[in-house]
Amino acid sequence: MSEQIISNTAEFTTAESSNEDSADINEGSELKSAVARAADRFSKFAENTYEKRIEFQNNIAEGLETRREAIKGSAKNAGENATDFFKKISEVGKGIGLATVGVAIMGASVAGEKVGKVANSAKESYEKGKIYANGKVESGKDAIGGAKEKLTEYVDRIKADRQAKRAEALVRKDERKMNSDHAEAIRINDSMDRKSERKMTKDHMEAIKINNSMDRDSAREAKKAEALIRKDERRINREHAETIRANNAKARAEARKEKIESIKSSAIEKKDKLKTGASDFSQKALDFFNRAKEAGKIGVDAAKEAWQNYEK
Amino acid sequence: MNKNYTITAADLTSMGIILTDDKMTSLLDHLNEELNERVGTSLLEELSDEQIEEYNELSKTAEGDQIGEWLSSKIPEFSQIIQDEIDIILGDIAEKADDLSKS
Repeated sequence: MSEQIISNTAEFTTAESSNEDSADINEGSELKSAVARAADRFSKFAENTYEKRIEFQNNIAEGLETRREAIKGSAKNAGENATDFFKKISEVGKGIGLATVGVAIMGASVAGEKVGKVANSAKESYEKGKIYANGKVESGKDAIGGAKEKLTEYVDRIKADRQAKRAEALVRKDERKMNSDHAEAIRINDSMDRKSERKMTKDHMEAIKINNSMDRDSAREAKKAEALIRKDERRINREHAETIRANNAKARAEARKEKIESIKSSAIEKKDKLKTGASDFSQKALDFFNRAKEAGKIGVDAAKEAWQNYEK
Repeated sequence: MNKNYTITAADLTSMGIILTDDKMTSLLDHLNEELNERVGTSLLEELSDEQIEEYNELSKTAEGDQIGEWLSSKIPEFSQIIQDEIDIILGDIAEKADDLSKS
């Protein structure tokens, strides 16, 4: 039987699914059963890929360290190392097929075993297969299934580990966010406090300013009111004085009028008196004159008489 | 911001995610882009407003890993933040590994 290096899961899977030669197997005889063929191929596979597995295992370990260094250290060095690692992974991966990486890792990690042990494992699987060789193709599958179970177990372990690390990382992330939110809240509160304080100070200064302004306005208003009062007082006084003057003038006018009337009355009276007096005087004068006249006449008569007497 | 961190094919295959090369490449591109965005966001959240302004100015002229070095000097938990984002996204992948393998 030609050697066949299993390079992918499909080949590995089909290796044990064949129903060919399920009859009993004699150790050492030609490998006819599917189980035996599969076990033999696995053994050879393990042997041929052992070296690659070890190298791959080491590269993974180195890669993890490189990745840690890449995160912590300088980007340039880490980038170069990371690039080298990725190249190695790519080469190894292509060599053994990514599908069988898990198997390779499992094989190496389960034992760090040497070729002989791996080969013995395959041989054990062969022995188990031989026991169930009578028409039980599943026995072959059991042997291979064991390896697959271990692979599954390994993968599940990796996945569980990843999910546990994720949980831890989420807790740390939440703590950082809480701390950041708390610090932000403090900063905002401080800012608001300072803003409120500034506003209060400003409002206070404004109130003082307004109060001062109001005080000044009040003082001015008070002075204005006082001035207006004084002005009114002066006006009232003037009006009063004016009234008094007017009244006085009126009184004087009345008085004057009265006086004039009085004078006029007096004059009339005087006139009347004069007239009467004149009349009296006149009468008296007339009387006098008459008397004088009489007297004169007398005289005249006397004179005449006297003349007459003379002439005689 | 230089990428000092990457999700690799080995990360995925160790979780049982088996894909063809082109699908693997496409998935890795998507995951690393997502990772880079998450890391960037988480790091910037740690900066104050003034530091963010400083970062914006620096990003216009920075060369090499100047930005990475500047961030690591300003953020005490720089390395831990990056590692946490890697662990979170790998945990997400682990949870969806079966679905990813079927794609």
